[in-house]
Amino acid sequence: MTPVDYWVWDLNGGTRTQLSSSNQFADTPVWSADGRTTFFDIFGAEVREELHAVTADGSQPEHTLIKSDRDLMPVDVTSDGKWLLYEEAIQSPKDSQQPMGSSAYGDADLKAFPLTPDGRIATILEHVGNGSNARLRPGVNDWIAFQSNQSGHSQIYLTLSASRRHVSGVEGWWRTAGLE
Amino acid sequence: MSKDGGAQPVWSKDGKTLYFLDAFQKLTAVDVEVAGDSLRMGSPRSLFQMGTRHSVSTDGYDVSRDGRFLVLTSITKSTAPVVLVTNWDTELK
Repeated sequence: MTPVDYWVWDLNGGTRTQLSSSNQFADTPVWSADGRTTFFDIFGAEVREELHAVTADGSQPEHTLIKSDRDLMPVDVTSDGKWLLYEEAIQSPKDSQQPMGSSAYGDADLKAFPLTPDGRIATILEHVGNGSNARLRPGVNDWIAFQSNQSGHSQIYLTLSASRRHVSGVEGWWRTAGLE
Repeated sequence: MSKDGGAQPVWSKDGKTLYFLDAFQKLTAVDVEVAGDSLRMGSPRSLFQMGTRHSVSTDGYDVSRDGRFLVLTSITKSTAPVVLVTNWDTELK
């Protein structure tokens, strides 16, 4: 697999800066709420799936947030900057007989990773599908827009926060994220 | 909320409009009004045709705070010829 890095392009100054540094496949960068950090996933022959973070100005070294044997993909960050939303495939490539990084394999759950020390990973939506492109409504994070092919072809869906839908196990996430 | 296919939802920065690509890669906008746990959605409006030759599954565009779009308009086009192989299974014998 050919390594793919990702870059930041300054639209004002026109300069481009390479941010990812590993000799792997870097994918789907997501900005932090304050615009100072980017999150992305990497995979390849040398690593399993990993979510990484790196400061946009290169002032802090790239570091790993999550390692998994399942496909990972960051999708959004809450407006308060406390949670990184990401997809995690339900099956590992070993189970599904599909190559890691392939969009063809498996279903996925939407999860939230705490960017502050006092949180725990929470599942926000189960079976949201691989490649949901889930996005929180900015500012209030009360609704999530995502795409799904559950009807047979890709459509856009909106769903309320998990706590309002009385999904167990995620009340703490929404409360901490200021969504109640 | 989409009726004729949809992908890559992106909110406006004020959270009042949801953009997505329809089945024909047209960028579409829907006004969204939130009242508690309920939604009121306006009629979808086609804004413009996306120019990507091949659809991308994620991050094909974004919208800035002032409402301007940053759009991926092309992907490197391969110049390699298409090769049709017939009776390929004879190679396995």
